[in-house]
Amino acid sequence: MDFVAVPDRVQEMELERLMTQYGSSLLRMCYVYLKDTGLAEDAAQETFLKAYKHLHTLKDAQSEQAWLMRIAINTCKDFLRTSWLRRVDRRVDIDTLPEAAQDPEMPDATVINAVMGLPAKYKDAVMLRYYQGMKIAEVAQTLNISLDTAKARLRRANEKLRQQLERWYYDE
Amino acid sequence: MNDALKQVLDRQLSSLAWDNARSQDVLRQVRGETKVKKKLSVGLVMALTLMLVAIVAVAAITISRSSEAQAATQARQALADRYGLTPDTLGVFYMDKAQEGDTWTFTFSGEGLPGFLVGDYKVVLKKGEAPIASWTHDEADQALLDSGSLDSPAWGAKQIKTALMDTEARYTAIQEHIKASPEKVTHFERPYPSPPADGTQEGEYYWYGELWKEGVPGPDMLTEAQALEIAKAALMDEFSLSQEDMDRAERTDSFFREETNSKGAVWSFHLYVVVDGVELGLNAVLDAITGEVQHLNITTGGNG
Repeated sequence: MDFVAVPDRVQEMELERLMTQYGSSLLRMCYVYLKDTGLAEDAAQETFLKAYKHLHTLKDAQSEQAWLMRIAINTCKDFLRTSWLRRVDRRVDIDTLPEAAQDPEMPDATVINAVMGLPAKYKDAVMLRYYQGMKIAEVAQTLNISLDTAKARLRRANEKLRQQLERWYYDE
Repeated sequence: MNDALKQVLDRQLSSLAWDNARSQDVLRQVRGETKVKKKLSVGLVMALTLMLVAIVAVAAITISRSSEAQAATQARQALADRYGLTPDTLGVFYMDKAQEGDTWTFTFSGEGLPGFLVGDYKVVLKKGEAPIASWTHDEADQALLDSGSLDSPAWGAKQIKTALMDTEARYTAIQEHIKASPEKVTHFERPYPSPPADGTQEGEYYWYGELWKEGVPGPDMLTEAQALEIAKAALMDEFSLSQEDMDRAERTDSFFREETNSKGAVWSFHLYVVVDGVELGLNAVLDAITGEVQHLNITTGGNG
């Protein structure tokens, strides 16, 4: 009998579920790293393709969100490392995005720009904790750092954001 | 802060959403029905265009600037527009900056030439508004300024240019002005604390009041040659220099600063070149991973 490669429907369904559940937040997180909608879309797509290839490792992961976000962050950093080779102008193009609903308290891109401007290690922690809503232990796990280091990075990131976002900032 | 940040980001980026079409696209790729298809971003289109241009002409680099570097470029442009200052004449000023909310304030203090003659410039950049540029000699005699004469008690762009081109005339004129009004003479001091009395160690230096420690770039970072290529392109763009000027420029210093708690790793380069008889000192600082330009500066007339 000839061997016929049958696509793994179970794996496909699992991938589809991940994309439905995390697609938009992952895409937006990629945008915060890459500051370019096209690159963010590429990075999100590549993240899911990598996730599909390594779905077998998901079973061992403590948290699928942490597992997926680690892939996304690494993918974005790979993109950043090579972006200069692509001669990509990574000036923030938030003004070129289609008009978003306006927040009366914060009508401009101040918040996003403040987060985008954080050094990478603080941005990682802030995006995972405050945007992805992870627990600090999950942030540490995703970034492969100790709990204390994760706490310290969040504390420093908060200090920096507080300075820039005085008008609306409040602690948890 | 949890909910606040999430809500604001989701609202601002609501146009970026993962829909079923994207999911189907990825699924077709995992099934091997389509090849990995990368969306051509504006940046990537620019990149491809530049690659095409490179085949037929000299390769060009699209410069990416930090928000601070972009603001500095706007400030210099505002001074060029209102006062006719050019990159070399701006080089006699020490540029400092401050940010408060969405407002940048740049000050250009006379350092390479006597401050009482060249004065200080200030540019205020507020988001969504036209830049506001001012000069401490705004009340000076315009006709005298326009004449370019070094006898003018206020030196505008024309006087500075003459002074940079003619060292002897500059020296004589400055002495005359000091003799006539010694009480006006002041000495500019940079507004940053001096390094500690015991000085710096090898591989360290102070920059805008901050200690820089030399490090070694990691494998994922730009090499010195790659970073220098970007730095030169940025300097050419910012200060209207030609490729020939850059080819002649002598690199006087290269410095790799390792990542700190608050700032990422950077490459810093200092170059020296004489253009049209004026000695230019050039400095570029860029992100060691992305190549984003963080700071550009030019010094002339002994400034720096």
